[in-house]
Amino acid sequence: MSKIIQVKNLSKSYGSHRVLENISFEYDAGQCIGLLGPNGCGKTTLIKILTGLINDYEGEVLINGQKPGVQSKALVAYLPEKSYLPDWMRAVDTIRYLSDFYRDFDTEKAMKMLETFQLPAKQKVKSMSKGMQEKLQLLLVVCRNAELYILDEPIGGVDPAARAFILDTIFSNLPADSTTLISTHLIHDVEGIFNRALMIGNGRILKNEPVKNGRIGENTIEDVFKEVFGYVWQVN
Amino acid sequence: MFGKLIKNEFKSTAHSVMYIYLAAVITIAMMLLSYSVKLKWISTLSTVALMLISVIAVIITLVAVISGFYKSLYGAQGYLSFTLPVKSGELLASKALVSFVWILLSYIIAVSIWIGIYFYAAAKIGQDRITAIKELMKAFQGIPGEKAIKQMLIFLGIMVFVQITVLISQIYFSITLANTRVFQKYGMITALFIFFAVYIVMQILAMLLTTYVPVTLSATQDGLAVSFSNNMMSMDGIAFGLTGTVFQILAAAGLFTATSYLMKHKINVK
Repeated sequence: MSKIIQVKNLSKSYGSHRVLENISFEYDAGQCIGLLGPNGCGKTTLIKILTGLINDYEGEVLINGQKPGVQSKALVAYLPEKSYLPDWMRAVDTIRYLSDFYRDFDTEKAMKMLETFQLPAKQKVKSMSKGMQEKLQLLLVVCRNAELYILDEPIGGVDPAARAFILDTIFSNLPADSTTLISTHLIHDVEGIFNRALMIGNGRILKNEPVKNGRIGENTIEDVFKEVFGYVWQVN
Repeated sequence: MFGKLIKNEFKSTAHSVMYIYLAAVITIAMMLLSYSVKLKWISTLSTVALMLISVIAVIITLVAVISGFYKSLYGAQGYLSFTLPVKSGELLASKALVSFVWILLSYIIAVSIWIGIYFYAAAKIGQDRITAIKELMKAFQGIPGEKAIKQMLIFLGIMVFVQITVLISQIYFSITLANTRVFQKYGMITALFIFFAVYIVMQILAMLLTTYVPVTLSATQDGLAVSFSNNMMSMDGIAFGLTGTVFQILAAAGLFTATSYLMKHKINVK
């Protein structure tokens, strides 16, 4: 059985600025991976490569044995950090749009979740508050029956109650055998969820460790994070 | 998937252009109403409004094509567009096809309005334009012939199709190149400079090719015929340059190919 994510000797530069430096890792399906690191360390660039948004890089990237492309995009449900829905669409239009392009999209579930989230089906995205747009985007992702979910800072910029709601929504709706990659720098709220912690700093992998009960070995993920990135900041 | 891309592209762009076409329909209805109730001020007002609408429709459509392409691919919506399980060529082709339809529609509406106003104004002062055109054709002693005129109109129609396609290819290429890493830092004004640079280069090359490779389509008494003269007017009839048109078609194909390549390999959605 092929790995769900395989990255070999991946490097990416923007001009003379090296963002990712020869990184390699691979994961079996069914895991929850925490992609951790401070701002500007290369997390979003890595995510964009995995989701097929960036295609000029060195090295090899495979999603379920395939290069990022049409086939892999059908398997991946991506929640970017920013709001990406067209202003003119109503909530129901976004559901219809995704059901047009993704065979694994559950329209019935999405319509029910609109009610649960108290999002009016005929309200336009441009008239929604930021919180409502985030809920709608989250709904669209969790209503996919994807093989790989990639969530970029899903709990960044929201209050603790909202963070708990988002995490609960994510993990009560995703298929049990799916793989989830969550990028975050808010370790404390999510460390109990991960099976693996992938820490990136200065474009390199600093830690790639199994996690059990929120711990890497005997230390909490947060403690390891502070230890690892304290060192990185000293180097910088 | 291509059909779904086109369907959703029409839905997306209709929001930007439909109001001006709605205004055109309402104004035409007002004009027709003014004939039946014989209210001169309504027909005058409607005529002026239609003239303005015809120009605004073309401008709004072009603006919608440009802003729609940019926002859906290189704005935040790019995260949605570029992660769809579709080929970048299909994404580009669907947008080009829908833009083509909207631009063609705006041209048809604009030309129809002006032709309608012309014949209406001529009829108002007692002139029969159709008879006048037939008399003019007799004066040219049948050159070009009626068959040639029909073929010319078809050729001109094809030319309009080609010009719209070329325009779209230039717009898309300019916006896409302006969003590659090298140019992105200079902002969207770069797209304007790239567009004019591409336009001017293509015009110069077309002119040079027309001069040195003179293949033309001549409208004679018996119909259209290919000739190898670069005289636009001769005893045989009126000539239209073919070399430049063929070059523009090939150049547009090249620009679309380059745009698709850049979209796939060189774009980083911000």
